[in-house]
Amino acid sequence: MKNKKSQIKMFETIAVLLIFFVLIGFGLIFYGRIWGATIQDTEGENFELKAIQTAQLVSFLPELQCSSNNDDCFDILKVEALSKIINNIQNKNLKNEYYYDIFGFSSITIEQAYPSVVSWSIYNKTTEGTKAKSSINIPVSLYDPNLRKYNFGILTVDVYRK
Amino acid sequence: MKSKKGVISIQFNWIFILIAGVLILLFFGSLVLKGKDASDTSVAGTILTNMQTILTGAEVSVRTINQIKIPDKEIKVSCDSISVGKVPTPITKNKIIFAPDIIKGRTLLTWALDWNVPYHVTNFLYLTTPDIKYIFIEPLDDKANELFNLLPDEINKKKEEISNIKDTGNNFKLVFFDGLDPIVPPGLSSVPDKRVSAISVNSGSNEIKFYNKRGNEFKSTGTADYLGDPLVFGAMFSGSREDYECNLEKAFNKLKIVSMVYEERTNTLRGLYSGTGCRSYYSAPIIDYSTTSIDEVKMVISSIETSNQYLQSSSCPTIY
Repeated sequence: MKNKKSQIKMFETIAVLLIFFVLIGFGLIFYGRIWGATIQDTEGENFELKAIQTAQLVSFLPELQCSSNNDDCFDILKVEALSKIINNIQNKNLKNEYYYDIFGFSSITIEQAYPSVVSWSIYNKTTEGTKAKSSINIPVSLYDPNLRKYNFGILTVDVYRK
Repeated sequence: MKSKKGVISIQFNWIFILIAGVLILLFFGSLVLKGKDASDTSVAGTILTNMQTILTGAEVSVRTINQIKIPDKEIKVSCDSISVGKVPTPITKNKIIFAPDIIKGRTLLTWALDWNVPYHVTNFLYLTTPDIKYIFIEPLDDKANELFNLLPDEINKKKEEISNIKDTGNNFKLVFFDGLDPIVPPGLSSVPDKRVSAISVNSGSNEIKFYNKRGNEFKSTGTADYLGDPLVFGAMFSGSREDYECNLEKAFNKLKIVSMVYEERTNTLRGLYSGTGCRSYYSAPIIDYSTTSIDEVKMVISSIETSNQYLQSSSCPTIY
């Protein structure tokens, strides 16, 4: 009789422990899910931040900026030159190593909107299985050194996330 | 017999409680440790993300000094990465940051200068803390005085004769100019070696010699080239010669790329102005530091500057 009593007591203890661990398990799963969601939110914020930083980097790129150092002013001859250099197959290391290190998976285009419509693709590197894309448009002045005139254009920076 | 069984049962209960207790303690202990690790990584990640944003912003605000309050964590800076604790973040190839090896304290000073040789190539970012004291060793010529005055007042700087330097509890960076052999100031001879270092700028040969303190004398760690005042500051703010040289390489790589753009641009202008007097001044300004000496680079810079002046006075579109 006593033996049975102590056996029941033992089962009771084990059952309490089991329930205790099951509850802890549920708690951990719940915490993990919330943690995962927070990480995803942070990743999203960091991605947006990266997109803004990329746009800021392009805006201040000495390879494109007007010599007079005006903010948000690009020299058309420099824009043409950089586009030609980056997209030249002979300079693929420059694109795949140097500029990839700066811009990652993104696409940078400058479009002249006035007086005529002209578009230059500065850098374009996309990836398969893109999860998200952040697009930033910045109005810019485009200086034509030949005619010594300022035109109006838009800088578009698309940043992709795998 | 019955009493023996009871004793075994009670003992078994105690052993069971002991094992279960240890297991529960271990479980929660590991959970706490893992939580601490995750929290440290998360804090480091947040600091690094904020640092990247601060650095990108500071880099484009040329000639402005920013005093930034930072968490009291040790930040390690090298030429290609910044790390907080065990979490590193890479520094991209276009970011040129001259900084001490370790940043400690609650205030970070950021300062940026543009590097024009002769056209704008990049901005250098300098990081330091108020704890590091930069001492320009007197006597100073006009050029050295100009450099001293260019440094913002927020930076802990001083002009002093070697015999007047005293230990103020700071880390010291001594800057010697032409003709002065670096000697350890008597007032700093008892200061631990790692708190004192020096550079010697030789403007004649465009070289900077780096020194570390070893007891009562300075031992040279090597020599590196420089081109323009921003690189003298680069050597001054760098933690070591290796870091300075790595950043110098990045700077000259950027110069090569920017020069390629200017070469292409100049060729276009030469084509557009083929029948005019402007054409002869459009010489292609390609500078490749890897194949030329610093003197040759200076000659190319000078020839581009001259051509640009002629173009400006002839009302032609300039090279830069």
